[in-house]
Amino acid sequence: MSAASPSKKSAARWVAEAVALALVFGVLWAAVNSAPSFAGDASVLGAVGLLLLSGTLMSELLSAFKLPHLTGYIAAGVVAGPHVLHLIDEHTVESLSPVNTLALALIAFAGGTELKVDDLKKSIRSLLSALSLQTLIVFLGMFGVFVASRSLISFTRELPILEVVGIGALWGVVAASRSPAATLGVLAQTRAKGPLTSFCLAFVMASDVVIVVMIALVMSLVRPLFDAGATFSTEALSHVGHELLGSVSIGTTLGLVLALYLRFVGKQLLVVLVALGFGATEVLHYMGFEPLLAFLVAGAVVQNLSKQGDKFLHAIEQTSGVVYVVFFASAGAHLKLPLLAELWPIALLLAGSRAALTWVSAQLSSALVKDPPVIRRWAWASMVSQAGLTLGIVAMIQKQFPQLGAGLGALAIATVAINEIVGPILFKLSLDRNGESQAADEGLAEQEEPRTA
Amino acid sequence: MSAIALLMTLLVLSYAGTLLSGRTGKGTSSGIEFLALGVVVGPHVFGLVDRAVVLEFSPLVQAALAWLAFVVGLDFARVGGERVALPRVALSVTLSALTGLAIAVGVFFLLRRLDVSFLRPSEILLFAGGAGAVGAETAHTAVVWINGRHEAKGPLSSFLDVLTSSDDFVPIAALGALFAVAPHDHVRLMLPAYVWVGVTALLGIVVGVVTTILLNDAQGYQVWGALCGTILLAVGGTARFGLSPMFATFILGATLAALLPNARALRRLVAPTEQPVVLPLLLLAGARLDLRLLLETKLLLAVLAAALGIRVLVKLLASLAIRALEPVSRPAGARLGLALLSAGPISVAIGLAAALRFPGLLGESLLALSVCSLLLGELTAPWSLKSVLVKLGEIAAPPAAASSPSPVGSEHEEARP
Repeated sequence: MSAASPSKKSAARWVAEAVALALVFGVLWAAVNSAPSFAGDASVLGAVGLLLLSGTLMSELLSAFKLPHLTGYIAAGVVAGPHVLHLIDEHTVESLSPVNTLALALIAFAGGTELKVDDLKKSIRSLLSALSLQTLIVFLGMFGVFVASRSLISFTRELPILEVVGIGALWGVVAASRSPAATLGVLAQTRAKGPLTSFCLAFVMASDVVIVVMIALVMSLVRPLFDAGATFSTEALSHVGHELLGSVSIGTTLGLVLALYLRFVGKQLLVVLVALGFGATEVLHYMGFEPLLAFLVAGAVVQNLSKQGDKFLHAIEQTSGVVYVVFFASAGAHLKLPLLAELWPIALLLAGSRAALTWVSAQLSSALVKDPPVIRRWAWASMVSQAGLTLGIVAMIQKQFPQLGAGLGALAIATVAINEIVGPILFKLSLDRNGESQAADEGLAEQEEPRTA
Repeated sequence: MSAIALLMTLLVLSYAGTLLSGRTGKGTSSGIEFLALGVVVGPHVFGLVDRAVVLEFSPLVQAALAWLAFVVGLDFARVGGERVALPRVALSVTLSALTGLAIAVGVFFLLRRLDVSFLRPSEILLFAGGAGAVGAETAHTAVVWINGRHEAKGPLSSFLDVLTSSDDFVPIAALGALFAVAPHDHVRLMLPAYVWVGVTALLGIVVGVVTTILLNDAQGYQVWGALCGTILLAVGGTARFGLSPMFATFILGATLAALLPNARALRRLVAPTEQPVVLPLLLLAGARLDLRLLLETKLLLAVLAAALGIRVLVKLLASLAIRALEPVSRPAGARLGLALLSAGPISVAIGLAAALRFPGLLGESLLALSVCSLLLGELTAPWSLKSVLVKLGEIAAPPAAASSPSPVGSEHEEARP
């Protein structure tokens, strides 16, 4: 919680934070053990409180090792979750999904608002090169690694080769996906600004759109490999096209309305963001559009077609700071540690291969367009993280191909867990090494004027 | 209306609350219009919101109640940010406690005498205690409303401002005691009620200490994260045992006020959040009110009326005590008692908390009693307080209407220097 950098904190401060963390865990541990069979709504509230506090404190303590706050949030969730201290059970973790809805909306808004057309124009070649090569090389490379290591993967050992090829193609798309949430989470902490930051943010956001199209295409292509009676159909692609076009249109309209609101009213942005996060998401899902893409476009419209971009971004940062803690801490609580313990060798192989292919692709694309040294050297670090988006894609695949069973999901969870832990660390390291991390915001002591929520 | 639509409505109300925040003297003194709106949209009038949807919002209500108690605790015994003198705090708390106790005792004996069948024997004590908790306070919001609307200035308005600012502790503590009498059955520890009260307070102090550590040099959004986290943790921890989250978060607020070097800045930061929380709470309370249950149980209506009558009597007696102890209040006369009948968001919050904790007739009755107290207070307190202050010259009397032309001679008098 300290505005001071880790090196400026006193020993007493470190001790106080450690004691506070122990107290937080202690309070809920005592409550859970004294009333273990309680299953009311308040258990969800207590879980949110625990994740918020323990995530914040853990991140402060881990900052001593220069780790990103994200790692602290995830670690707190793991410790509090169903597999370590059992302070939060599986059912409660599932009940936290509304928080994820709000978090993802804020992430999309923030991502769009950070995209400045002027900056994008300067690096458009670099961006396009990176997008193409990263997607292609990681997709093909991971497809190859997956098929080659099929004997090491339990659910593919007995499958016919054609089906393994189909699963490999799907895995390739999964591997090519990144985590906008993790990227923005690290940027929110470091308040980084610079060419590396701009590039990484634009890449991760654009990659999101590419993956959405790609998954629809690949699923249509591989379907005949699993179902002999099925044929290639463009229906899925037209559905994706409708979804994309509609989402962009609605996002543009939403962005213009937001810009007008910010210009002429500009108050109670927290309430507005919460209303959009829940209400607009619900409406867009009902209409068959993609809320995240709509919010991304809305943020970009506010930033690039009005002068309200900074105001909007500030409001999002104020709101999302709290939400991110719960989002990533609950992701940590959601991590299936027994699964990771069982699958870690193959998960490590796949995660490691993906990281290596990402690095190679980054070097190739940078060499092709003659990127500045900072991009060539560090951009790949932002592309390692994976989180909820990847798991969402896997869930979609499992729904479309139920014959794959739970094996693919389990492997994805284990691999994503590794990328979720390692990715943010690498990205923060790259920002710190490149000097793009900024100073902290003012604290409570410095506040002269009251701020409303 | 779906849960999402109700959430949007509550957010709109919260938005409206932020616009009204700080603008004293607007609307009614108690906010009863929002409660009435809740009744109108609720299942018994237009049916836009059905009971199941209202009950889905129980976690949100619990969190909001805890937040409200936290804000009250943070600002306890302060007027305009300045600490109230200890003797005045003691007077306020003592009077409030005696008032609540007298109401509780009166209601208890009434229920025993009537031999009511709609409450179990174990619930009679809880109902009586709840009635005492609901009726103990005199709403500070009413005094602030009158002072703001009519620009009251003087010793009595200042005295009442101080008196009512410190009595919120009693109903919230009473609620804490009430919940401690009946912890959840599944709790492994068997402890006496006073120990459970101590546990609740201790939890508030512990999370207060944690919050103090967190808020020290906290930056930006982390202030809100720390506050939300500790309040939710307090809610989760206390609710597991069936204890009172409101009492725990009140103690949390008071602990922060005592320990935090920047408590003043924190008060300024959280004060504007009170209205945006209160208005949706009032709407949900109105929507939750089970009119059907009340109308079907005729004896219950009689009990509620009798409880209100006992409150009126006790408040009149309390006003006698105040006039005996405080010279500035003596000229106010008997109307001071009626002015003390004001009830506000805290009373409704007590009723709502009881309804959440004791589902069924007990909880619904206490919620109904709090709503009736609010209504009675709104009908009697503002005008009687205003008339008292006008009588004492602390509010300027309205100018007499000019109904006829002034006499001819007066023109010459006006022309004289």
